[in-house]
Amino acid sequence: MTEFIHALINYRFLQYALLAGVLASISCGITGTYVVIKRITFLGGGIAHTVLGGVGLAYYLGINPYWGAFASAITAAVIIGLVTLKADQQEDTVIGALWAVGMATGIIFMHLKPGYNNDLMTYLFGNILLVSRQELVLLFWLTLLIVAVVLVFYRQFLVVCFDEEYSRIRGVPVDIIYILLLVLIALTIVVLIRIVGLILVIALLTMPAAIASLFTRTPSQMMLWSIIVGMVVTTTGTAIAYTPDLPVGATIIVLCGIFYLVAIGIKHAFNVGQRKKR
Amino acid sequence: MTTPVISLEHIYFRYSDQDALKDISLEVFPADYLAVIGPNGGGKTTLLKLILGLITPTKGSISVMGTSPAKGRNHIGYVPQYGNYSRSFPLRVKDVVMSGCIQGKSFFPWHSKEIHKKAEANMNLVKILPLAEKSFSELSGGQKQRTLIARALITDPEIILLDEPTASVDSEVERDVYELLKELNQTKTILLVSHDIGFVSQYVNRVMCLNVASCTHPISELKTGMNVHYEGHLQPIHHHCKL
Repeated sequence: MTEFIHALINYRFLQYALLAGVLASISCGITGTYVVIKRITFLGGGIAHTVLGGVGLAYYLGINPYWGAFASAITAAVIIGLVTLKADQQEDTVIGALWAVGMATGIIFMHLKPGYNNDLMTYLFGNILLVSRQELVLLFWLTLLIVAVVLVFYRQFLVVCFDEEYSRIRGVPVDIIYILLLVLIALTIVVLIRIVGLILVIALLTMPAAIASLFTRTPSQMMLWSIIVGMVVTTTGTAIAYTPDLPVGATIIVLCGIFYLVAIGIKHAFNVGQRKKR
Repeated sequence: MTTPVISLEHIYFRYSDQDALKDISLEVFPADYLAVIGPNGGGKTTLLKLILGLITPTKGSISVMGTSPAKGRNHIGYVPQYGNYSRSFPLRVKDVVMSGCIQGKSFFPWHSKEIHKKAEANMNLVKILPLAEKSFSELSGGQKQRTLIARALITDPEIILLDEPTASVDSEVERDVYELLKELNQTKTILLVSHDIGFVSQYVNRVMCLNVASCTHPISELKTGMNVHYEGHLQPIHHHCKL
């Protein structure tokens, strides 16, 4: 730990890494709450994996992969949203198909690009230690956008998640709000890809919110605690992984999993205690 | 003559492969307390969706408060089945009640003082004020139903529409819910759908039997043995009402 603190004071890349973790925790704490309460984890996974197609294509064309990630994440969010709302096809089948086709497209473009592309692998598995200043600025603006949109549409997102039919009766533009929510989830996924990679992104999107849901009674409390849990796991995970040179993304997720299990244990013990009191 | 608050004229509705409703006509008047009774799949929920303007009829016309259902539904407080909600959704009772005020232009997370006051008054009216801070998911079936009624009342609607308000609750809670609705009927028009004639016949003014086709009668006729009449009258349009 001393080595980590020493490095944190001296190395800018580590400071960027922790800042990126903080920003990612804010976005995933907010949108992750909606993913958990609306129970759309599979849908989030579909969007995340479709991103590889866009990243691969951008690489192949020599464009910044972030633009590819943006374009594919938002396209996937809109398609999945429309399918969920309008199409007759079973949505899980369509999401599964998009998931697989997105990844397959990415793999084909990786194959077409000559040489082993190490940088592309960081999009698959993430590496918070490689976050550049430019990426940090992008993460900041994305996080600010997510916070601003959720602040404005907080109540509409909530009622649409709670009761779509009632929202429609009350004149809420349910389809637009639902797709906007999916687009925000897509943006969060783009933010998180650099931290844990698109393979593990869904875990960081849902586990802090799931932990928070065990101890909170309102979505706003859930968001706040989810952000705090996210900050703790990304910071601690980076610190733990630093000295033995473990993969940071994977360490963060394992730590998050341990926290989740402990939280379930505490909640269970609390419930048993309450029942005994009665 | 009193103008109906809800009027359906020769309504037909067809899902892709089958008729859900055939030639349904209905008039609901101010201060009516009407129950639509019928088996599962008989078209009760379709009827509610048509009145709420969530779907449009294949044939026929509907008016709510003299206008189209899409406009008229502002005058309706809708109470869906409480069983439709996720059991882990993190909302307090007062949040659920206040969410009844949502509109297309409801921006930012906070509610006005006026909405807080209205929510409190309606929770008090349906006797759930002490539960205001409790989580909605922790409530019993009857308490959830009262919360949803309070949510429907918060916009002060003229009409209340309820979908199976007593499904999955015990008989005591069922009686409580109907007593509450009877109280509300002093100032509101009430239309509810149910698959069970049970207690409902003791409280409502009229019953509409619906099984794709329909027949509406005052409650007094139910109490004087309507079976033969229903069977005879409706058999040609495949309706079998064994009340």
